[in-house]
Amino acid sequence: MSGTVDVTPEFLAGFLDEAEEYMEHLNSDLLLFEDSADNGPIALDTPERIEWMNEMFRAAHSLKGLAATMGFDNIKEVTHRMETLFDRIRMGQAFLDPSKFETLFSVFDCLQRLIDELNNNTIGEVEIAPTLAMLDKELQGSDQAKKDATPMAPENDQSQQELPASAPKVEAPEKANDSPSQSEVVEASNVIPDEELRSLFIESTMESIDHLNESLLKMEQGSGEIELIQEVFRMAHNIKGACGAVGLDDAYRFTHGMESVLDQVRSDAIELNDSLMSALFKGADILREVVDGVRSDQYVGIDDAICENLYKKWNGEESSASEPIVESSALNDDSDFDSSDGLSVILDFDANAMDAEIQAFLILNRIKEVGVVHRCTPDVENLSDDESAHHVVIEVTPDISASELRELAAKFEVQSVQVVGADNSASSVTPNEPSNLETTAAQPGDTDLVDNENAVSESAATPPIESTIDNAVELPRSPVATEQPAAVQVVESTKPLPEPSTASETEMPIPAVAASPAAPPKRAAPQPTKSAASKQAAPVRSGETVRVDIERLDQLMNLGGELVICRARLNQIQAGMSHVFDGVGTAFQSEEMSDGLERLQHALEHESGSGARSSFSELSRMVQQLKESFEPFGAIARRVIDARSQFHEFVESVHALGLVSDGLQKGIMDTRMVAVGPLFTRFRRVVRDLCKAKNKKIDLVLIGENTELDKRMIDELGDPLTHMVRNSVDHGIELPEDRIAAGKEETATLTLEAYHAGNSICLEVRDDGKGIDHESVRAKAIEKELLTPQQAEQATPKELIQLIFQPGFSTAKEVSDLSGRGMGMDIVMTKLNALSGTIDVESEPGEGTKVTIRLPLTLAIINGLLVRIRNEIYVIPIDSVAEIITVRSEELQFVQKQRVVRVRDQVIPIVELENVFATEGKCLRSDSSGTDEMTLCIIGTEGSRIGLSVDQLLGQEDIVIKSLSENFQNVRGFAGASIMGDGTVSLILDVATMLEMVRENESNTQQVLTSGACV
Amino acid sequence: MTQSTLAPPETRNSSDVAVEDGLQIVGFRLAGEEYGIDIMCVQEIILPGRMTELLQVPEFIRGLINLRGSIIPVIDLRMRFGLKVTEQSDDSRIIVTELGSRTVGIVVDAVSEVLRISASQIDPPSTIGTLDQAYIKGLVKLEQKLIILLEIESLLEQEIPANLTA
Repeated sequence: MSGTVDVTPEFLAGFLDEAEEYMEHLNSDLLLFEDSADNGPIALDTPERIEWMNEMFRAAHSLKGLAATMGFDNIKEVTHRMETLFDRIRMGQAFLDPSKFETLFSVFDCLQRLIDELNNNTIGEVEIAPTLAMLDKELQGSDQAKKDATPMAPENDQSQQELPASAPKVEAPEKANDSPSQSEVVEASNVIPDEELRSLFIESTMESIDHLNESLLKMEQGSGEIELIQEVFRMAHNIKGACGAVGLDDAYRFTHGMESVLDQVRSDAIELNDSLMSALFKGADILREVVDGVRSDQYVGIDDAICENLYKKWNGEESSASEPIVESSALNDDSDFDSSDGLSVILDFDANAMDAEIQAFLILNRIKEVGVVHRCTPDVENLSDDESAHHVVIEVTPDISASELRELAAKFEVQSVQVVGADNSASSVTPNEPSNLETTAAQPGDTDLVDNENAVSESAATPPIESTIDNAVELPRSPVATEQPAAVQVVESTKPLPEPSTASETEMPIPAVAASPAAPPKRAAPQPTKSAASKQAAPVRSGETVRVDIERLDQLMNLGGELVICRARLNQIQAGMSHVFDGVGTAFQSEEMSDGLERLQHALEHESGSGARSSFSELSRMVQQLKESFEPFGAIARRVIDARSQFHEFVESVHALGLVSDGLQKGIMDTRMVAVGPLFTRFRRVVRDLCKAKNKKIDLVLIGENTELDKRMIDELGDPLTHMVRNSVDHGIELPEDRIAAGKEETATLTLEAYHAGNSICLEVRDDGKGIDHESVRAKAIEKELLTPQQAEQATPKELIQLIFQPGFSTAKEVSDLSGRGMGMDIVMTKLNALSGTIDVESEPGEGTKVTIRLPLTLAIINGLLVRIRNEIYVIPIDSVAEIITVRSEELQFVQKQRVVRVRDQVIPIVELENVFATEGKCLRSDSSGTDEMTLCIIGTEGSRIGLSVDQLLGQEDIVIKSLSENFQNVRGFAGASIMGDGTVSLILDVATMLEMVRENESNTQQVLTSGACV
Repeated sequence: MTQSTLAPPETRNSSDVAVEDGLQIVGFRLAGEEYGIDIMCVQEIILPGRMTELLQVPEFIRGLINLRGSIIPVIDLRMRFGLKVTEQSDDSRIIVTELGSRTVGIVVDAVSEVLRISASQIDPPSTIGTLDQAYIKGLVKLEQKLIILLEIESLLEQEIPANLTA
């Protein structure tokens, strides 16, 4: 049991995040199973079911690995057993039947509690023993079943998932049948005693391996740039150096081999082909295992056989038949090579055969008839003239057995055919006498590698290298096809995952690393290649995502806001400067002037020359002086012209800055947006549990799961939504028999829907239950003295429904474990107010209830109407503004001294801001009664509206909300403040509370109203 | 932005801030008297600019200002201490103080100097004066003058009446 959490908060946060994701998968997949279950065992007989199971397995596996890396032993223990159970189910050794659902759900709950306690830092409170016992019992049961049912062939054709289905198997080594995880720990030793050195080694090598994998992947995707190869080479070299430095001799030799191959690739001595790629990937995997071994003190060295194989591969011993990698083509539906778990048909043609391409093409066509072809290398359908196809690998998920496939291919003029499964088996047939011994000899190795790729990366079975290798090595010796069940058995043996390798795989929850197809699913950023096949497979996590602390996003958001403000400031400066440059012709004028002076001077000189009058020469001298002193002005004028062109550039830059800052702000906003899907899916489980508890039948429908909401809001919404869903299930939806009696479908429908509505997001929870009973609300209201009997009598249905938001108000006859205390809707309301959301309940007795939550798109920015009231600028959230009207004073009417105005038969009271806030000392008024017209913003919700008198409308703007409580406190009536373009602060009005305050003022003092009325 | 930042006058003389049981204070004037606050509370000193008035808050909260993107409240110490309120002069400053996570501005008549004082120069608050004793940390006796050392933390805590919280 782990006592404390000794991981950094960031790691913990990452873990929690990811763990939640896995829990969601587990829950939702199990629910899917349950939905599709009849009574009795559930066979994994549809691709969907297999995929669900696989997903659950993967989730359990990933969670386990994650927990192991972080040292959360409790979680590891539970997930390990769970994983084993799933694996057995997957393999057909155990069955998922309804009796297991409850067990599994309670296991999930236990896990959830374990995760929660990490979150709350209350480690060690959750007791896992009962859960473990429960799981052990299931496992024992399945042990029994396994013994009984081993001969049972599982659905072996369903090979589009990890289940390495058919592939005939030579022999099923007995020892591999036991869980290898037991034996592999034996030779564990602490290879690098120096802690510091060790962690340094692990860290740097892991990084290099990640790089290596990444670059290899890029290479595989067809970009054979020299830089990539260089990168791979450099990485291998680094790793070699690191291994050498810490004295891992075998790893050093291993990487050395790898490096020299890469060197040859680099110098074009070896062509890069598919099998070499796989071999390199494999090499990277082995290196990772080495590091993991070091990390977990269970390093047992690299198995020589594997090295041997890889060396062979790397050195291209079979490369005589190699083809340059052909870019994936139309054929290549499945971008993820590793996860295509079908078979590979390897065709070798006589080097002299003229028509190998055609033959290959024919075979390909035949195979297409009996299965789904994922890839054909080289792509014989699109071969150019100068390419040949003497060595063809066709990856296929066939509908027929491997031997049939082989026979099919062997009908053609082929030198040798091999059918290779996803496990370590191969079957080869050599119709003709093997004329090319070298080729055939190398091929088993080849197949081994291609498949190992799968086996290793998927289940990371390698630390028990022995067993895997035994198979591999034995392969060539007995290329006799046996029946499939045997094959499956071998695969099983590699499945129960040994500890260290698990770490290797899940160690890196962060994307962009593992070439492992078992990498955590979901978080689906769309893969560039979309195809039927890849849709079927678990969505692959995109390469580049980063988990970011939301605080940082907030900070960015703030800075973005600052930038917008700076821009506004620059705009003002620009406006202030522009008039300086208004005089266009200044420079010309100055030149004209100096010309004029010159002429004048000439004229005077002329005069003085003829008449020799001293006064003229005196004048001339003065003009000369004037001209000289004017000279600098000409220069200034020219500089002004320069400055003006500079200014134009400035204007342009400001404009560009504006675009950038807008883009930046939007970008940051978008970053914060998250789909509501995961939030919604959580309710599948909630509803399911509620149904079980209440004996109700409910169909939960989720709509609009892709609608995006600010992450902060998503986090806050879980609670209110749960309350609403509970209310619906507990109070709204009737028991099946009642429903039938009422002439409704037995199964009720509960819908969660999210959609955009203008500048806000709406979340709807609606059911087709019995609705809210007005009469009981009425009765309860009287009982609780919320209304007098008289009031209750007059209350409209809408008003009655509003009462459910009162704390402590419940019409439930008894308090159940779920609800009935009447606090639910009050909590919902409080939460929503904090999110500046609104809630609306519509209920039709007998028809159902619809609760709509309306939320702003984000908490950080609202669209606001800027108004000036007296000397201050205020922001009114545009969503709260129903309309803006201008009224003349003669249109005003008085009701109980309260000024009101009639807008389309609605009587709307007019309020001044200071009346709302009932300020005594402070008077904002700068006397606006000069005109007999006033502008009113009609604000509030349907039914309760007021007309706020404003002095000036300034327009509409996106407003960045800043909390007042950050440095001060929340002030009632204000939702916060915002910074305007000129740097001043404006207050944002909180319309809902303003309305409340107006009502309070009304009831408290008539005085305020009168003073407001005497304008 | 309406405020421009000024460096605190004669800023902390080198790095030896915490002399043994002594402290540095920022001295300022308010209605002809000298006050001081611990320099560790002072974030910066700015020129007063336009403030946005708040409603529904005590009068001595003059309003809100934008300090590089944060919105901070500004307290008028004259009003707080019940002194005669005067128009702002050219010498008026806002001392931006930082207390825990909060940033609050204080309007003062003028900022005078930064002083280093030793603990021995501080007398416990006496009964002299009208100022609420809770706000006074002590009296600093200098040769020519007395400085009222404000206990800024308690001053601000009381500024924010709990009953107004929404």
